[in-house]
Amino acid sequence: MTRLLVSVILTSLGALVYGLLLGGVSRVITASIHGRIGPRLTQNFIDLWKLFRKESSIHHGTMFWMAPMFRLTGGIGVLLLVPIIAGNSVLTNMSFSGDLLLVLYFMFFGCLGMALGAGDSGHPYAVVAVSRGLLQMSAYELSFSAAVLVLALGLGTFSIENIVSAQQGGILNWNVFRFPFATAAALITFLPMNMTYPFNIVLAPQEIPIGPPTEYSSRFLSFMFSGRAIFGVAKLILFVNLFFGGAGSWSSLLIKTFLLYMYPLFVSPVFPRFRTEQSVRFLWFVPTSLVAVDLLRVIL
Amino acid sequence: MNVFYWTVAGTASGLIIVGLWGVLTRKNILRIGLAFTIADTGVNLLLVWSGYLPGRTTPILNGDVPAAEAVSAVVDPLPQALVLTSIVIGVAVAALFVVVAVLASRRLGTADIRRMKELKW
Amino acid sequence: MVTALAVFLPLLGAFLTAWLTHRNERLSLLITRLFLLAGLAAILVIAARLGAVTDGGLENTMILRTGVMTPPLSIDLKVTGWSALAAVVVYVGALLGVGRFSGRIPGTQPLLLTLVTTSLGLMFATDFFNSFVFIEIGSIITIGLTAAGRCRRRWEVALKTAMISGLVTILYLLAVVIVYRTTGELRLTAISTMTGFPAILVSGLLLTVIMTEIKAFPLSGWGLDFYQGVDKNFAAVYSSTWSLAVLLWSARMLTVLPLPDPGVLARIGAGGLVLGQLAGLRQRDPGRMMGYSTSAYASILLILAGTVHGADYLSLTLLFFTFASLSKTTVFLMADPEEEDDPWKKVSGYVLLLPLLCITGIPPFPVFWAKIRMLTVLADISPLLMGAVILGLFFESVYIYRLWSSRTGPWQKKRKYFDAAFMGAALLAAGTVWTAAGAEQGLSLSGELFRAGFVRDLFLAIFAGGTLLSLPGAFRGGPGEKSPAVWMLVSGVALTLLPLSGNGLTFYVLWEISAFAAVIGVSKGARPSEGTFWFAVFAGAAGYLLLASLVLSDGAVSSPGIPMLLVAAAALLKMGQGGAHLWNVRAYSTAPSTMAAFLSGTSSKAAVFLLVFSASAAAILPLGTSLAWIGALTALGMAAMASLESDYKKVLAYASVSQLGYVIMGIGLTSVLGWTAAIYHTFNHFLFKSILFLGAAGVIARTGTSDYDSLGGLVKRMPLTFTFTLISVIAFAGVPPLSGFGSKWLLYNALVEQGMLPLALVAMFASVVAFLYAFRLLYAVFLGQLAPRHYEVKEAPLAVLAPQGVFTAVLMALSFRPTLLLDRLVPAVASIAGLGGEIPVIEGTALSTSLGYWDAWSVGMMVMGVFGFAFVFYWISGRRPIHVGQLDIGFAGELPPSPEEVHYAGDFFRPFRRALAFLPEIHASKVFGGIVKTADLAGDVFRSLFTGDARTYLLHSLIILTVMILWMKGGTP
Repeated sequence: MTRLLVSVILTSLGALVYGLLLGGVSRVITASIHGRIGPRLTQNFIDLWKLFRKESSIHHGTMFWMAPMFRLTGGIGVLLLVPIIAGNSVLTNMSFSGDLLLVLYFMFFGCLGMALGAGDSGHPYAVVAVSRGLLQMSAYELSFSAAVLVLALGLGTFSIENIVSAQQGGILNWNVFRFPFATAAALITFLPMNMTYPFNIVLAPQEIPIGPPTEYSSRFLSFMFSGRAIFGVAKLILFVNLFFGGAGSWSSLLIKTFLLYMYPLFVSPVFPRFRTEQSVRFLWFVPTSLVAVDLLRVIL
Repeated sequence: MNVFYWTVAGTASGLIIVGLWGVLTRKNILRIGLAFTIADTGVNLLLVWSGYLPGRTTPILNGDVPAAEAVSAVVDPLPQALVLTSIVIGVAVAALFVVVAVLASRRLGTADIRRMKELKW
Repeated sequence: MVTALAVFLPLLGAFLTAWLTHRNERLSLLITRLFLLAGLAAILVIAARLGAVTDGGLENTMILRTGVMTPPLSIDLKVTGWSALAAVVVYVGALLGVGRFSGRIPGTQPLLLTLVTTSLGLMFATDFFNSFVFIEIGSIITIGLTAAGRCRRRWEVALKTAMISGLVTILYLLAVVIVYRTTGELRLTAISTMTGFPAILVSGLLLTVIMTEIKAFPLSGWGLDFYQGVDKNFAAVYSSTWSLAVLLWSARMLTVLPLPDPGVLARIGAGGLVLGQLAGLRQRDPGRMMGYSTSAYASILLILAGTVHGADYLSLTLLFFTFASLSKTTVFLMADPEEEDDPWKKVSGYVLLLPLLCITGIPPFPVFWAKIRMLTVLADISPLLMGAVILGLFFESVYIYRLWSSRTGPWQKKRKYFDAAFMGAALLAAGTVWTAAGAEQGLSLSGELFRAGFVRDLFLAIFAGGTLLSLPGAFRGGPGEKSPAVWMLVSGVALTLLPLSGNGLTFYVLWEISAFAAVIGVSKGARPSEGTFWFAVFAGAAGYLLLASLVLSDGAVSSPGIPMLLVAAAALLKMGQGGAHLWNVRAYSTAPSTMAAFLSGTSSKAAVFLLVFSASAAAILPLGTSLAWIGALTALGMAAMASLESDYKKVLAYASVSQLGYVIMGIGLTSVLGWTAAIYHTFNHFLFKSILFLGAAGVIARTGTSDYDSLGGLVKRMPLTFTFTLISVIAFAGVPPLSGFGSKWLLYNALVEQGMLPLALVAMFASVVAFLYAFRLLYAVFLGQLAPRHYEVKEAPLAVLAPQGVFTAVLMALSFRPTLLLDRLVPAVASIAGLGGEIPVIEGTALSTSLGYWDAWSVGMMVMGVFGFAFVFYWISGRRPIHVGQLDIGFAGELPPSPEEVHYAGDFFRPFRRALAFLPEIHASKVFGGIVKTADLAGDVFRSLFTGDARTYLLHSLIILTVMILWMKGGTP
């Protein structure tokens, strides 16, 4: 019990640090693409600390005020439900309490909380963003869960641990090679999941100031910020576990997640932004058709 | 003999057909009533005809027909009794029909059955 | 002696009143009543003597010689127990109607009394010529009394009746001529020995006469006009006297007709029933609807004559026609003859309910027992025929429903003539009790139709609990609504007894009671007409499908094959699956909100119960995949509709149907996991849908609107309602840690286990689309900007709040400890024979299959722990912020306009609509509207036979005569 508690705390903190660090890396890289000097690598830590230190002086209602906590809980929850390093009994954290299905559905927890908070703020822009976000989410979840279900059917299990262990013994056993089309689909959905171009319709700079968190500031925002960082790391680990053979050690975990994190960074800057219905339709059809290829392979 | 027999039947049928034809084709309700009476007469004739036995006399027991031989000497008396009732009823129905027709045409301002179609479908 | 009195007393009275009537009207009326009462007493004595009151005496006979000689020289009347009982109804009908009719129109008493004697004479007549005389007198009196009425169109009616009776006379006498000529006899039974062409001729003539007289389609035209135009008070008397007498005389005649094949009668009847009632669908005139109903009963007589024999025939005809006549009399007594267009305009729906239910033969009303017996016989002969009859009866119930539902008048306590109508209703009620008590098949709540055990008890708990918890809020209707409490209670009690029913018949009776009580409950809503109509139609259709299945499978609720198919169809209709959601959406959105909560939360589970229990798994198996796909597509389609809808209650209705799609999917899998998922989700759905609808009831009661655009921000005013709604929304969205996720987990395990990945994908898609409407619901109603007109709104009334609290408590318990339910449910489902697949393993709080695992308790603890930590951390890490006004938002430096303008709720998911634009628009309303239109069109075609020109009606009779003679001629060598 104590070990579990310690592991949970350390994992969460580790994920927070790692997530902020990755954010810093991305800012640095983006800056150099733009040819700017850009912020420091540690800028995100400084931002978070600044936000946390500032007092929130107003709120708009109970849901508004609980939303950042929902967000944080959603992020940490997903992280804890995914086994981090294969075979490490401590770092499996809470993954004994549910399989892949639980993770899939728990991913909605934070989003729903956030959306409710945005709704309670009474700001129309926040809700416009939520409506777009939910729509896009419903679209990419279709193809992502399709990919996951194909995996589950192909490997005969919903357990993430079993999925990881099924990929051991050589790089060709990774699902990225066994289910290339499903993986491709999942990688496409990785972009809207991380709200990058061409799918960044939720935060959509210039259109709706900053999306759902329009009304949030200071300490509220710091909670959201941390939640998002942790959630991002959790998703990275999940993808690594599902498609890239899992992580047998710290080094492989860091390398794989880092590379995965870099992927949208190099893909998205070349795209303009989709309109909402374009994004939705794209996500309904393109990745799902990719999954269908693997589905047919599995069934036949 | 047979000729008479079938003539009666033919006349009766003819009356019925003429009557029904009239009922179906006339537009004036009084004429329809008249057509009914014609058809009714035909039916009554047919009713009498159905009791007719060739070579026999009227079923009235008098000197010409001794009571003992009556069964083999007279025609079937039953239809004749029935037709009386039928004629009486026919008269009653015809009378009622005329009353209804007259009152209806007064109320509705016309005796044309084609204009008595408020109730339909 | 008593027999003679029974028949001729009214005639005596007629002479007396003829003398009295213009001298002393009141005395004359009194004497009429006295004579009728005396006659009634006499006929009761006869009926008792014949042993007809107790069972089995229907065939006992008593001969009444009225002349000194033997027939044909005397009038010889034969009274059987069967006709004696009918004669009782003749007297009762006359007694009920005399005050209303003769009391209003002086001078009609003698005719009315003579009509009674004539009716009895016809019922008891034994030879052709006596029958002729009675038929003629009856017609004359009918024409006379029609003309004596006080309504505008009486002359047209009288004339048409006179013309029809003229034709009948001719055809009938022609038949008599042939009979006498061929057999030399005039006894009615003599014709049964006839053969050859004369037999065909006589059959054709008499059949035409009978069909015209009893108004069987297609010879019903004049009868429809008659009922539409006649003085409704005379129609009341007519229904129970002359009309009944003709029916019973025809019933006797039909059995002795020398037809080559009596089955022809059944086919003519069934065909006439379907087509005639189809024509009736378009009716808007209530009087004419009664005419169509009469024509339905005429068709039923033909069907009975062609298929049922002996004692059954006697008891069935008696049950059908006496009660139908009495019901019709009661209905007509309630009419106000002064109102030409709608004589029932001022009558409350309540008072019309009983007689109309009697006419449609809804259980447990007397006609129902006859109906089910008839259908059982038909099912043995030809299922097709049975189907046709059921279809026809369904059509009838639709327009009778329409007749009922357009009544809006108040109770008419003060109108003195209502006494007779109430007396009629009381007699019907007594008859209902009497027949139900004596119903041969017997109702039984004991016995074991459904396996006792946990699953059954679970449904019992759902039905009882749902009813009890929906009830408190129902006592006071919302804005513009009346209280549906009584009907909810009736419906709920019937539902609760459903799992206990001892045989299929009991099940069906309870099912129907529950359904029609619910229909009435729904009609208490603010805008009831359309919603109630569709609900009634779909519930009626489901009921008739169930009835067909019941009859085909010999009293079991279902057996494999066609009966199972019918049951599945009934259940799908009841649950609004596969396009049938039309009724759910319309009924839920127009019903009182608490009634909607009851229907969606509790009543819809009856269909699940039916599927889970009636069908053995083996019976469902062949339908399984189709069922699962119907469920999946419904779940997806309805979720999308719910996302695009902007009416609170309609959204909930779509959502309800969508969620039940998962249940159907699970049942269709016919595996242990699938059924566990289905039943688990059923219970879940019961909880969260009850909460949601009760919440909506509270919101609507307080704000008076269910439009998203006018709501918003209510969390500030109704925090408890919001909390309950939030919890149930999270639950149905399937977000852990609340209970909805369990359903999803079980379902996906079941689907992947069966390798049904496409199905799983559709389900998954449906469940993410569910987020859209889930959030929109919470936001549009409770979050966002509070409209100024709702500033003073209070928390929902306790009567709906407290039940929500109970439901929520159970929901939370189930969320954190699903094993409380699954511990018992899994073994119970595993023990159902015929279910394949693996059985999930429960260890402590964890559930596992070979595919995956799930431990709700530890997930719950994790979420609570992390959330609690975040909460406390936030709390202690700084000052608490202050709550600011709703318009204090960062609006780019400008002043926000009014709250209504800032609240973004209408067309919330416009991009979704745009993204879906590539799909062709398929609207269930269009599909069903198309069906209705087609039926209407077909109905219009048949309706157009009845041109209103009396000559057309005569032509119909002559055509039918010719066709029948030619047909029978062709049929015999």
